[in-house]
Amino acid sequence: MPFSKRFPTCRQIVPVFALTAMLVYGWTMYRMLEKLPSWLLYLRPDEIASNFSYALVFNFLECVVVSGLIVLLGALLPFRRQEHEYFIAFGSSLSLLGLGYLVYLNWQVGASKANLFPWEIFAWSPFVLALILLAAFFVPRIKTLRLLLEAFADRTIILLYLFLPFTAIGFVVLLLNNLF
Amino acid sequence: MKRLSRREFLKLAAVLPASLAFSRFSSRKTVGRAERPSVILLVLDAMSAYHLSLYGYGRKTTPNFERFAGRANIYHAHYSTANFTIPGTASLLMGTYPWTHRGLHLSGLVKREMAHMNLFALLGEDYHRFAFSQNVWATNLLLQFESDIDELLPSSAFSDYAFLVSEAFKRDEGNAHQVLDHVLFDYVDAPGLLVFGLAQRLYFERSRKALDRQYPRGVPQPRNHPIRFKMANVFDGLMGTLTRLPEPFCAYIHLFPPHSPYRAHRDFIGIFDDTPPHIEKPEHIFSEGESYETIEKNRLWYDEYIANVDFEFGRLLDYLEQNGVLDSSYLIVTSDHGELLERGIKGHVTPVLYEPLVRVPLLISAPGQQRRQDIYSPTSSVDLLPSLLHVTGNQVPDWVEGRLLPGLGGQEDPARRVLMLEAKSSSAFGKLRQATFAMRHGRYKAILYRGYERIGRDLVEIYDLESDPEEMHDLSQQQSPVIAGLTAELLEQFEQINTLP
Repeated sequence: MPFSKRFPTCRQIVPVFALTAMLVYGWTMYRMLEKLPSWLLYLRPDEIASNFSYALVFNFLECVVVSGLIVLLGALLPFRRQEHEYFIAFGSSLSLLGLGYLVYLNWQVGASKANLFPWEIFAWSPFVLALILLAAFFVPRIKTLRLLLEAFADRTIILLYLFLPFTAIGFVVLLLNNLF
Repeated sequence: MKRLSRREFLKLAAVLPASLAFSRFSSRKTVGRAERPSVILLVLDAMSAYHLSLYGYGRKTTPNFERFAGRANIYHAHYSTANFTIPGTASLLMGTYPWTHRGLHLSGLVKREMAHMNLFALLGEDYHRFAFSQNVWATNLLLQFESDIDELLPSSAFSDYAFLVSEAFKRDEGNAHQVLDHVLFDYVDAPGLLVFGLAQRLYFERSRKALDRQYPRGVPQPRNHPIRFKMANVFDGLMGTLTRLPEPFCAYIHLFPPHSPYRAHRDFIGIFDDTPPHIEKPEHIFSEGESYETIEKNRLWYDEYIANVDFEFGRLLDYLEQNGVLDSSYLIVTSDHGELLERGIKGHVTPVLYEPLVRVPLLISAPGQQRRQDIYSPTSSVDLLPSLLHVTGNQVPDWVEGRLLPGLGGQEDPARRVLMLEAKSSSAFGKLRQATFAMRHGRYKAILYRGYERIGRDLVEIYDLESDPEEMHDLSQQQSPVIAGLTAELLEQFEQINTLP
């Protein structure tokens, strides 16, 4: 199969992007909402909106990078022709496990004492990432899991109807704030 | 009119380039208002007066401050209004107490409607108003005053390595700062960006490992932000800056050292090893459980860091003297708060308000001053703004809560009442439900702890600072009219300040 044909279709990418967005946007909103009570006291509504604009735009960029990486890995890994349809399940499991691992790492970093970075947990990262990649490669071969992942990823597309318009608005706000 | 001859024209033409060259080197730039004095306000973050040999500390931490003192007013009982950056700095720049400006929290801001009630605005456009803070939280505060400042340098200026994302968003730096540097690329807590935040943090931590051998304890950096700097570079940068500013100028310079982490240059490590240990004080109810040994080690590191700052200050002083800057400028050296290394407490994020935390240095040299003047009356950081307005020929507004400093238009008042507050756990916009409030009145200092679960009731401590400068003997339980009067006065003062703004 020519390399260009190994890339998934747009229809396959969207659910993976949506699942990625759910995790990426979700984590940031979780951290932002922790700050919101103090912002409500200190900042004007337009300043708070501006803060969320930055978050949305950066989140979108993160989603593009992560999804792009998953697409590239999907093309590079030795999936056979008949496994071409595995991409949604592969991408979804990679996104779930990979970003889940990042959530864990972020939490650990946040819990660490100032100037005592938890390098020890990062020492295992290559091993954990290899394991995640291996799992993502084999999970689609288990039919029940594959269907479950596909169904789940498909349902997360609804969130894009929320994330994308708000990101677009955020991008405009960010542009206006920084140009004028 | 007599016409120029060819010979005269040639003579003039020969003189012109020389005069142009001379004018370039001989006088500094002015904006035509040089009859008014310039102001250099140097704030050294977390520098406790208690630890300076200038004020009698056992270790010789500040020989250059002592040299500067020979031509300055030395304030021996000068107090910050609080024990951490935001309220202390806001009071200094606004002339109002924390309960008025409401900058009560660690990363807080002042009341929006008060944002224009600051030194820069009051000095007006006659002055070139310059500001630079290495402390990012103080920069956040300065961003509130941004429209009144002509030149605001980023916190990372003069640093070796910085990763402040907000600097890429110049037109919207305030908002960008709030969300990018404090949340999305958080350097203290978990980053708000799952992927980019962690990647940046890893990059930063990896570069931290490549420590410069000149700084065995790590290259100096603000505690919560990835800005790494060599102190010598920062002071070199300031020297260049202070001689390029158009006169008259007001330069607010807020340097992070000697704030923790205490990272002295290797030349200052070990210089106090033979000094006898400090007096051991009993643990306080708000003790953080730090052992005496840990505290002593940190005290040594802190003192060495102060000595390092003092050395750099000495270089700056020489430079300013040699370039004639001090002939036309007020040089003010102070701090936003102190540091506590005793009673099981290390640092300044604590509810207590003992002397090392709130008594800060204040040295003021007037243009051309050659004589030392010692001032022992209590003074407060809220006094700086009215005093500076006074000496620069500006009106002092009614709302200012400070008074003119002795030596700058004010009179010594040994019975002066000076107030301090710590209320970072209270709402910035409501009544103070959990707070520590302190009052220096004459020789006494009274402290009120209110609303702390750990105590369960109002707790008052009273110390006679003249006979007990180490605050070891609490007099609050003594049956005497003086103590009873002080207690009543303290409680009454607190009720007065604890009204909704």
